[in-house]
Amino acid sequence: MANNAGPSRREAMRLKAEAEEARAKRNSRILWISLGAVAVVVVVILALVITQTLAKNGPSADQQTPPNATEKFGIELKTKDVEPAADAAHLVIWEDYQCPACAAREEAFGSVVKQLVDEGKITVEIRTAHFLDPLLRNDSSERAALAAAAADEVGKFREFHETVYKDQPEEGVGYTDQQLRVDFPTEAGITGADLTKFQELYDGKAFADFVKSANDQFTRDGISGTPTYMVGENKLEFADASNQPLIQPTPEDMLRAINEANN
Amino acid sequence: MNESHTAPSIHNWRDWVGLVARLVPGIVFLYAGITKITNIPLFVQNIRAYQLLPELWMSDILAYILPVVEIVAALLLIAGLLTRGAAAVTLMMLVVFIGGIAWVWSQGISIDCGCFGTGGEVSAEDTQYPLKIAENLGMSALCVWLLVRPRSLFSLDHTLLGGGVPVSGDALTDDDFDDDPDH
Repeated sequence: MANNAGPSRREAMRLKAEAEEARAKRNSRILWISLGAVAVVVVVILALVITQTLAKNGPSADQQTPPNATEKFGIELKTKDVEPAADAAHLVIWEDYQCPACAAREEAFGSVVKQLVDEGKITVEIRTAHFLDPLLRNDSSERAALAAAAADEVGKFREFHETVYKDQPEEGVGYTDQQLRVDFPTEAGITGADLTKFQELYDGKAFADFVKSANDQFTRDGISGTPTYMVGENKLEFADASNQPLIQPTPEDMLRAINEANN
Repeated sequence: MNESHTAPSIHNWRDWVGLVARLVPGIVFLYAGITKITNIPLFVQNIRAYQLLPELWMSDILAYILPVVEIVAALLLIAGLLTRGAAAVTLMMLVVFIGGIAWVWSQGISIDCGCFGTGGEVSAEDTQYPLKIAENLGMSALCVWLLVRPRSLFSLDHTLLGGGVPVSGDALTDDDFDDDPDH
């Protein structure tokens, strides 16, 4: 009986050593699989970043700011005749060029707003986001914004802005380059040397940084949708909860609403 | 006896629970990750809309990292490989998501774009927040199960590594010796 203890203990120790070895092997296998998983994650992220960056045509190095750009990346609507009154309220209009509600608002209130600007009663800047691009899986809002900034460079922002909304296609169709660099500018009265300049600016994405900054500002300001009309910190409400209009599309009523929001 | 040295069995209900706990979050995260990774600009925008991160570039970076981690963790869960680690990563993401939803809910943040002809109705979305949180809590519970007991049916962990993940040095028990024919 006593000499049975020897081999049995040795046997136990051998089994223990084998188990230790098996466990070490297992642990090293787990380690390698873990490292493999992490490596896959890193490689895929890098590949994504590279492909997403390459997918965007690089804008020209010579980045510009439109002449009527405002501090927060809007474009000011210039008065045609008179200087704005000293106490004129300042209206900020947030838009996206593919937003159908923006086109509807422009149709109803665009001429009213411009009349108030031209009478010097308010000042207006238009800030353009392109948050609909990813939703609609195109880049039309961004390209339209690039084109609008180029139109400001040749003094036709107001006309170009009107044209884009007037000719806005059904949501999701987007704008072709032919429309943005030939049809719309021509319709907006950009011709000859101005048209050539406009197209150079558009093709070179000269306002890419400006347009991106405007889109970032949209997020920073926490604007939740378009169109949004802001007077200072106050949002203009055009309709109540039951969809009854709160502002009539007349210069008098629009001015009343803006001045109320301004106080 | 120490069950980590026996194969998962179709007669053990807990191994079935383990399988379900792998597949449910696995399939959900795989789907969610693929949806995000195929439209990264949209995901960038969505994270930005949460207004949770102080700088926009942080949202942008997260938009690249999160879908990849989601997909890899989901594939590991579905395959049953590195089950415990994948469950831990998934659980971390779920906790962040629950926090994010609670944050958006409490802040009343919502993107209404005035698009798709819906007029950007917000209130309908409000009612979804509790449901979303409940879903994520349910998946969190499944991940916790896997953290505690990573063994499950049809797992690569068992095929490749032979058994559960070692918890401590007590892998050798008397049972092992009893199985020894020489004894």
